[in-house]
Amino acid sequence: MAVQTIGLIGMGCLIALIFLRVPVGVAMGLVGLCGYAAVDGWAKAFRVFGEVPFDVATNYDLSVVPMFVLMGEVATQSGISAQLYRAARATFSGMRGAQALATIGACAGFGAVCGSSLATAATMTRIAIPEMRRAGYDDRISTGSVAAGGSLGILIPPSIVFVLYAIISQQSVPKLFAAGLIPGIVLAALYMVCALVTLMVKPSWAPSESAGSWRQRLHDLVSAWEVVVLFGLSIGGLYAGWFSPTQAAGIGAFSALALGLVRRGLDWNGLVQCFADSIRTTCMLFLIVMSAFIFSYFVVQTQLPGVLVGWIQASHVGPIWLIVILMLFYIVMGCFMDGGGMVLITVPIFLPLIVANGYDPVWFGVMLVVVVELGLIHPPVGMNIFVIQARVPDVPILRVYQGIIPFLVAPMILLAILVAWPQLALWLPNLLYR
Amino acid sequence: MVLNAIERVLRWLTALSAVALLAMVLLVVADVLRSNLLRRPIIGAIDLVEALLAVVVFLGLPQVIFAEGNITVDVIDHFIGKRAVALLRASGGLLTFIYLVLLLWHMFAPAIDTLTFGDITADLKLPVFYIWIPVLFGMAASALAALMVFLRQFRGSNEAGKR
Repeated sequence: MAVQTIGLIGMGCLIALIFLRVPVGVAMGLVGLCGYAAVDGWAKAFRVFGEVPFDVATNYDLSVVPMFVLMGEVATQSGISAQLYRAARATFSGMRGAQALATIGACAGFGAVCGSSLATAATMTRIAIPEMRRAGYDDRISTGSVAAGGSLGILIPPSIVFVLYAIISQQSVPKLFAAGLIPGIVLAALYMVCALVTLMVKPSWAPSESAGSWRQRLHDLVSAWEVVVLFGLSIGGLYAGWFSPTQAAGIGAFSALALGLVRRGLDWNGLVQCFADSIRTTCMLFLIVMSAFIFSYFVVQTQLPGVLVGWIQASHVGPIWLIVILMLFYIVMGCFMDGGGMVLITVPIFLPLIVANGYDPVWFGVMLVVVVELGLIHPPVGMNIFVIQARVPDVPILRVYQGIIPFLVAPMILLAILVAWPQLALWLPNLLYR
Repeated sequence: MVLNAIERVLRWLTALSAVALLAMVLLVVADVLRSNLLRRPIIGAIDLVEALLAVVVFLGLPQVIFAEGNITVDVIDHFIGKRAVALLRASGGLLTFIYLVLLLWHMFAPAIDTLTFGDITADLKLPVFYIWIPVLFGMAASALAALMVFLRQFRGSNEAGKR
């Protein structure tokens, strides 16, 4: 049997197993092992299979994962998100829909200390939705702005999805973090425009609010200094070239712990919870990463990426259409899979195709993360929607869907801007890491 | 009682994993401070971070497996009955157990190689086999946790069938 046929059978089995509820990590590992054995024999396959877990779990570059996850968990537990929300509210105070804009702004700020969109959405649901309800906002605009804003967590550095992409595509983590920053800010601004336009069409969704006193606003703004310190020390140090990614993650986690403990927001139980949650997330990710490596060795053996490049070249699909097709594929896949799994499964297959068509792998990483974000919020199965609905179960899911629909335009506009003008993502990494 | 004892062991392993994570953070911070203030980085910091990462991952994994914390796609639940879902969960549990046992079994050969060839870490010159000990132990505990999850799910699928 031709290796390419084995590859296609392997892909089919992987999809079938995942849909039959086999854990994603287990499905990738088993298909990778059996496929590799079918191409190159069991002896070699078992050799690779036995070595990969140790190699992955002792990979220095991957040590950023548990430490950035810990930084985000501590920031969540120690109440930094509430302060950010107050600061963002002070910024937009007096505008119609100030709290919806504040939610998106606070999510963007929280994304700067937390690498996970689900965590950002979960923590902001707890903070922003009760406040917006008290002020008389419609549940649709409040859940919509939390879902949309929450997705910024993985585009604004630090970002766990960028780290996974960097590892599997052998790109630089600092470059990817730099590439995500400006598109992240642009996306936050686009979400705000979406919120304002929605409120122009549906003015009854938000009450008119009076501006707070300047003294109060200044006080609330200054109270967000901790986020500035955390981001400045960790990611700022990384951009300035003071730290390696691992060092930036260690400094970030340590500073978050120190601030949490000194501010007394974090007690013993909270601390234990932070570590337990960080370890759970880390181990879940590592099991998938180990399996993804086993799977990617199989993909390389099957020569499928090369065949795919050949097909595309023979069918004369222009590079732009290739990107459009891939993005549509990811949007559909985002209905069923989480972002990390999606990146780890598909990048070994698609990246050679992207590079062969003249695209920059760093730019593609940003595109991928934006499309993963879209997957987090698009109905019917965006994970952020479920996270929010689980925390405010009295809001029917249909109302959450109605709330999120106006925001779906923003990531699509950003994707179009990135295609038309890749420098939006590449300017900063090229400036910093020439 | 056996179940309680195993659960306690898994919680202790998670606690050790947490200690390793804290140690990793403190080590990295100490290394950054020494490198920048004294211009004398900690020798072997990279070796230690790598070893600690292995401890964090492999001693934390058993509890994650036991709590069924693996990422699973559950779209099919909306289209099939409860008994079928329970059966699929049990099959997923069985495959997880088989996968982890296979991994454990085939991790012994490279582990023993490091002992036979006397592999050492780059800076500290520590035997690499030392790092393999918590790795193999954690993998064995993960396989055991997967077996318990499978038995739990299997009983659940039987009960779902009776209802």
